[in-house]
Amino acid sequence: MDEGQARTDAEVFDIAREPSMRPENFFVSNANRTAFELIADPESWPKRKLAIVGEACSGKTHLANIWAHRAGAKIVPARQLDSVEIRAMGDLPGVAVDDSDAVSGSGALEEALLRLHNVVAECGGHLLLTARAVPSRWNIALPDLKSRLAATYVVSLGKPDDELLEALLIKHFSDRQIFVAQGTITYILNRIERSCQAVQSVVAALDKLSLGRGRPLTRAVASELLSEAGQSGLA
Amino acid sequence: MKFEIECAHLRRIAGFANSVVPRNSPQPILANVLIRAEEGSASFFATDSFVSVDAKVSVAVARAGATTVSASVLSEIARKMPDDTDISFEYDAASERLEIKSGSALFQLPTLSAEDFPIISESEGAVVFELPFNELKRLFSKAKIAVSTDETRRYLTGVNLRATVSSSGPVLRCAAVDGTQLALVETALPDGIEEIPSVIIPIKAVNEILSVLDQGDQAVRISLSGNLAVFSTLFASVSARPIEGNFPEYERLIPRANEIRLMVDASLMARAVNRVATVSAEKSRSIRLVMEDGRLQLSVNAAEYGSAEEELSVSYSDSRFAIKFSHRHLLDILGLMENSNAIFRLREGAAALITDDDDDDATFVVMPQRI
Repeated sequence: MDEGQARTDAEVFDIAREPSMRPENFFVSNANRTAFELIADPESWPKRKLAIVGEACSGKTHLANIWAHRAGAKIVPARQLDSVEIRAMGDLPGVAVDDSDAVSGSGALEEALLRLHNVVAECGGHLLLTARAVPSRWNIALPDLKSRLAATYVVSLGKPDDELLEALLIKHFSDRQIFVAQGTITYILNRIERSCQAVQSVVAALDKLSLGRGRPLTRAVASELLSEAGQSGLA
Repeated sequence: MKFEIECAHLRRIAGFANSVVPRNSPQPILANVLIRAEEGSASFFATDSFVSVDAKVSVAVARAGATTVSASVLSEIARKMPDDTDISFEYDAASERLEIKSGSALFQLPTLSAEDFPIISESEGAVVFELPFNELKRLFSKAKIAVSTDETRRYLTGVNLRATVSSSGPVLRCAAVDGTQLALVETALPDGIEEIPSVIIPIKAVNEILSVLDQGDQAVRISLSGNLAVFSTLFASVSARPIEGNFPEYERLIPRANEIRLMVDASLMARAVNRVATVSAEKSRSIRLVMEDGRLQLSVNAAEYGSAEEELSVSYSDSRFAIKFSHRHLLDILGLMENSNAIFRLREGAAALITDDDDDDATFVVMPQRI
């Protein structure tokens, strides 16, 4: 390759931390206020069941973590449901199943979620489901599970407003321990798609590109990188 | 306060103080060095609130006392004085001036009160141990090549110190990572020490430690706690507030499964890299390595600057392998391996593991550039 014509970036280490799931790092806005209030009051859940539905990266898992921490409940990724001891879940105050719609189409996972429903209900516990789509739209084969899901109270996370997108942008940079000036935050915010996933993706891309080039994430660098990222369809 | 000090001592100490004081601070007194004279010694203390240096020298004290004076002016005066002279300091409380005399040269400098000078209290750390200075120097000078200069990622702008267990047993490990290179340097954990809090020592403090405490291979006392790290000898100490943040969990970044092995004379390779990199484009700064049949070819091809290549005889018996690195990373690492062989362990699509044939306790990991 001719290095004079193309910038050569180094590959970079993956040094990003797991995102913070602490309650104080959850930003409450109009888009998620109802869900936030509901997880604070599990006794108000009809049949002690609640499904939180929202787009990717909208804060569903964060809300589930906040509730589980407060309630002493356990969080189980839906794809691991067939490898956990369902009976033992009845001893807990509650269970949250993350990415619950992932059970659709898997006989073993659907069976496990149905048994979990039954065990939690018998033992008087709470069940929290998170998913991208409302349960009635999941492609569920088991009729009993389908009816139980249909009877689950659903709270949807709304489209993120500017205030929430800005808070998310700051949180994602903070999770990666990058201190970005407010002017740079505003600059980025004005140039990206208005979705939670876009915010997460752009932070990951900017982090990687600035690390690879050994340059701090200033507004000038963000401008340069967003322009290149735009050409590759990111922004 | 009144005492005399040899110019050489003053020049050295004032230089330390001047390198620590902040260039722009809302607290004007931080631009000053605190001078304290007491029974047989004078000490010079400077700080930027995060990193502090305190250096003491034996002097004849005629009158004890303390004051503060501009560190940059003091350093400049010391620098311009002839070597073999004694310099006298006398503080006049009435005029609040510090008089500095040497031969017929006389300086009268404005001062700020010593009582107003902020001193970081040095309570005993949670862990205290000693290391010979030369061992500390080996740890810090090798680890610091991977320290980041990116102030938006402060947690990468220092050297991480922690106790861990390696294949050789419990060790004290220094680590630095900047996103594309990682340096790990270890030494046996000092006797009696089991736990060392993971702290990130700012690079400014690391550099001060390497210069201020460099007075022969004496023992350096290290006191560590979550909010203060102090490195001291009999005559000087450097203290620093560790950088807040979580240092990356770097164990998983070490490519232990790399099986392709290249061994090369580090000095020969460094010189070849330096020559070939002459025509490397400023933005890419990359150099291509191709190894095959006991030969290593280094090359750069940049449209604007031209091309260059050079070949070295090396120990290499695997099949043909090509990889690209930043030449700066290679030069930094190879520069630490004088009169030794560098051993590269490589794998397609993976970071390179580079070690020194003469120092098993130093490991470097470098990300390749895209070919």
